[in-house]
Amino acid sequence: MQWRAVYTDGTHLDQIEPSGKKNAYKDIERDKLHSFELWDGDDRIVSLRFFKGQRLIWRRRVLMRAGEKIETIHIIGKQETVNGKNYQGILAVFESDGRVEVAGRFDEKHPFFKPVEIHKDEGEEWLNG
Amino acid sequence: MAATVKIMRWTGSSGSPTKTDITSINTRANAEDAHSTAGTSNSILIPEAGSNYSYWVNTRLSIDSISGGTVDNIKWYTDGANGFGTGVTCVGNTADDYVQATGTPGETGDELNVTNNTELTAAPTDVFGFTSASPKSITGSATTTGDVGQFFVYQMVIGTTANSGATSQETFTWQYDDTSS
Repeated sequence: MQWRAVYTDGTHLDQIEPSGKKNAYKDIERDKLHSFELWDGDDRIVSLRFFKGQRLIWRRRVLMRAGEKIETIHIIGKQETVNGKNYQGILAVFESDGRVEVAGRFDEKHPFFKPVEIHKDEGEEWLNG
Repeated sequence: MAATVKIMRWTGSSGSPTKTDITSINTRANAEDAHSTAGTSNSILIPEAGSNYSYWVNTRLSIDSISGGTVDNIKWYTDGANGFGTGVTCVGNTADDYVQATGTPGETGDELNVTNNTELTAAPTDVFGFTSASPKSITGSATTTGDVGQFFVYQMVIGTTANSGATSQETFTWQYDDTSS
C-alpha cells in the first residue's frame, strides 16, 4: 500500500509516482492537505479528510517473526486542538487482509495502537493530552 | 517502498562477528556459539541439580535498504505463554552492544547476567513477561542502512525436570515503525 496526499488546490503527492520517483513523508505540504489516502494498486483503501489546523501522523508499523509472515499495519492519525483541548482519531489498516480498525487515541497497552515517536524533522506535530 | 529490515543473529568474536539472517528461518539455542536450524551436536545437558543454560542468543535488527524516512519505535515481545515444555524457561533483556556467548560446548552456556554480559541494560527476566500489550522497548533508530537499535539477548534455562530432545518452537516478535518512501 502507498499513501497519496491530496491538496486543497486539486493537486496531489504520491508516495511513489507512476514514473517510479519516490516522495518522502516529510515532503507532504501539511498546510494545504485536503485528504490523506492509502492505495493498494488502483484501489483506494482509505481516505481521511483534513481541515486547516488538523495534524497528520502516518506510520508503516511492521511486525516480524522469525520464520513467519510479516504483518504491516498502516497507522494514520489525525488530531486538532479546539479551545485548548485535543481531539484525535487513529486508523489502523492491515495490509494482510485490508481490514481497518479505529481507535480514539494511541494506547500503550494496545497490541498495535501503541504511540508513535513524533518526527518533528518530518513535519509532524502531535500534542499530548 | 518500505525499508528492508532483517532480524540478524550475531555469533563469533566481537571483533569479527558472524551475522546470520534469521528473518525467514528458525534458530536454535544450543550449548554452542553458533546458529543452526536443527543442530544437535552441542545440545544442552539436562542437569542433575540446578540449571544448565544455552549459550545466550544475540539478536538485532539490520536495515538493508531505506529511502527518505526513519525506522524507530522498536519493540520485542513474545506470545506471553511459555510453550517450551516442562523444566524449560527463557530469560532475556536488551544489551547496548555485542558480547560473545561463552560456556562449555555440548554441556552448558555461561549464565546470562550483568556480570558475564556487561552490555546488558539490566538483569534478564522471563521473556514471556514481554507481550504485545507490554513489550520490551528497544532503544535506537536509523535513517540509513546498517544495524539499528539495541540487541535483544536471550537464553534458555534448563532444569532437572526437562525432557530429552528438542523443545517445541516459540516465535518471538520484532516490531518497528517505518516512514520511508
